[in-house]
Amino acid sequence: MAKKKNKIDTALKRAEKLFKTGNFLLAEKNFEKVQKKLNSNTIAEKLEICRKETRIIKGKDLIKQGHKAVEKDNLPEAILCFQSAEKLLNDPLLSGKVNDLQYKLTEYKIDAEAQEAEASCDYTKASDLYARAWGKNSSQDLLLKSAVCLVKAGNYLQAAELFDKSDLPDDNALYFCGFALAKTGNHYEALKRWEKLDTPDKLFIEQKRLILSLACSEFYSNFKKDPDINAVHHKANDLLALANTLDYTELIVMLEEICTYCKLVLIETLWEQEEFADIADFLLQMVHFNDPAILALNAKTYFHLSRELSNFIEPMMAYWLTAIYSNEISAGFSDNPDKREKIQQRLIHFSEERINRHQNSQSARYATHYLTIEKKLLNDLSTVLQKHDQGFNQTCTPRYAALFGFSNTILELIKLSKNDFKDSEHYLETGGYYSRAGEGLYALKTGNVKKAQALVETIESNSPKDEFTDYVVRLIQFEFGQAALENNEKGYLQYFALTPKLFESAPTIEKRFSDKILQYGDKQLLSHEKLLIFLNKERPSDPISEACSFAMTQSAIIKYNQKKMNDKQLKTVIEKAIRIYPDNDFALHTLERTAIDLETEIILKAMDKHKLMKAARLARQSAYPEVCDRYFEFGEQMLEQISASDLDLIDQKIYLSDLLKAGMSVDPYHPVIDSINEKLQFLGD
Amino acid sequence: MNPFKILNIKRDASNKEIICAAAIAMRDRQYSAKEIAQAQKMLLDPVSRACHEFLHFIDLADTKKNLIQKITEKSKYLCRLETSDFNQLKYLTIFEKKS
Repeated sequence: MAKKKNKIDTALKRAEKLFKTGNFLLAEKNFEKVQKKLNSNTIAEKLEICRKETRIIKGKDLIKQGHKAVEKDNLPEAILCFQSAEKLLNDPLLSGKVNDLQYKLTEYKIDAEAQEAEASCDYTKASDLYARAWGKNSSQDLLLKSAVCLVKAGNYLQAAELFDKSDLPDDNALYFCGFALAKTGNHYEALKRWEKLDTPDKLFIEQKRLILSLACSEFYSNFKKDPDINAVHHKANDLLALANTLDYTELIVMLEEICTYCKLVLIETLWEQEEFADIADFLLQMVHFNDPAILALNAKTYFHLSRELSNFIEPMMAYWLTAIYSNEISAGFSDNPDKREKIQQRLIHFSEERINRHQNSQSARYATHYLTIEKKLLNDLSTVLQKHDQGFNQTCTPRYAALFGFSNTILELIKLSKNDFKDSEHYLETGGYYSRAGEGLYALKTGNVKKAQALVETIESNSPKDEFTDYVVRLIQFEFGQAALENNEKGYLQYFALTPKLFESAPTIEKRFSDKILQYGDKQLLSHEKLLIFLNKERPSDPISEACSFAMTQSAIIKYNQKKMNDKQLKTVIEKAIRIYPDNDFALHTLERTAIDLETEIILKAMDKHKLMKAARLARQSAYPEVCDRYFEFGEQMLEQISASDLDLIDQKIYLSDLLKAGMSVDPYHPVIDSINEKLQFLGD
Repeated sequence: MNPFKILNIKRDASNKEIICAAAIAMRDRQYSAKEIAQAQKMLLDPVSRACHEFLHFIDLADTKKNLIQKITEKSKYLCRLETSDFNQLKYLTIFEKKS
């Protein structure tokens, strides 16, 4: 009995120990054994505690297992775990979790079924299944899947409605949404969805082109009926942007014209409101096309804008004269040609007044130059156009011609009318403004030679040239070279490489240049001598030869006077100058003077050495009477020296006889001969 | 200044209408007497009037008409396109993500 009691005590002690250390599972087993024997209330309470704690432990364990099963996508196992845990813990949260998992499991099942249907191309069924799944958990992904399947099943209207509920998060959704819209006739909306899709896929681009053409067709049918011109304009611009991205030329041209039409309608209202800045914005956006009303509109808009702002003077000038001189526009001024001209002149005067309002601005200064140049150009062109009926009767400024692609037409017209120009320079300069180098010529004529040079340097050397571009390039190089020469720049000669050709094509420039040289002072002549020698070598024309010969003669004299050159060198240079230009009177005269001086010097030297016969021979042979005169002057001086000398009579007579003999061989009737004879007679035999 | 606006008259106003309009403008006092006198002078001189007609009026009717003609001409291309079988258009799968 005591042994039995000991066993119970030992079991109770073990149970208590396990209970205290929190091992409720084993404690429960031990308490149960003891309770069978003792049936104690205390043990019953502890047993209850152990059972409760054990349930919690088991429940937590089951939750852990459930989460692991979720991670492994084993939803049925997870549901079992959470359900068991719920029974043990009686936690309402676990009940929600079980519900969630059950939904998810259903969704998985539906999704799997839908995928299976999709794989077997049963898109209607797949769409229904996805829609059912979406109905259960509102996932956007399922909604999009359902919508895409609807498109694939050909149910475009319903698909479009479903896509409308989504925010189209990816390219596939955008594509199918656009496709559904296109198929339901909403072409413009379809293209708007596809705008974000960037792919070089040819089939997709083909689809876009087709849808765009349908959108344009739909737009074209309605645009004239739509009272909201702003909305029409906006849509036309959108379609144009799309057409541009697709390089769809046929549509681009049509849409540009529709956009222009809309702008013109809007401009009519803006004009009434005098909103010229907004009109200018529209004009800038418009595709350039040559139309008298648009030309006049541009001219007038910028005219009004330039009243307050000088930066509008330049655009005004781009259109003003062309508009004023336009046959179509000026015909509206008056039927009377005289009155028409008066109106044209008055309008030109208006533009001058506009320019003068901003006379301190650079653009106004340029505009003044441009106006002068262009007035002359347009007058010249008008004259030419009146003489020749070439089927082109638009007199326009070079800038307008360039803007609207008339430059070549005008150049052809100028070529055909070559004989109507004053001279080749006039012909080439007029064409030059309309040539590819025209901008450079403007710069040159407005005094900006550096800019002109920079502009012609941009003309590609290998591009085909024409006589007008060549002329401008050569002229600018010539002027730039002269500026370089005046600034004492080294290597200035390189800029004159094309000058001979310039002179050949426009001899009036050559003549002006040559005349200018003939007016130059010493310093300028010295600096231009090298250039003139170069030019004369390349093109020995009369004006250049004259200028070169003149410069050489003058330079030589300057150097001679500065003792940098002797008589002989001077004579050589002057002879060369005369060979270059035989009519150089100045050189001829200088040469004569130099020759006289040289011969006189030799005679004097001979006489000093008492070589009287040699001196006489030189005087006799000289082509210059001045040399003979000088010879006799020396002879007279010698006579006086002999008379005043201390020589005895015999020696005097010998010297005088020699002098007489020599002088007689030169000119026996010269008064000095008589004087010598008289002296000899005085000395007696 | 826009003399037509100052006198509140149309482009084709007669000289008599210009003078009457100037008198009305004087009464209205919206513009100064100097401005009104200038406007009247501008419009009674034929050359000056022609200049101001050019400056202050635009006529885009012909241009718009020409544009519409051009657009109509080009729209024929669209009519030809419409006959193509749009219904044959098949959806593409190039944007589908490969799983």
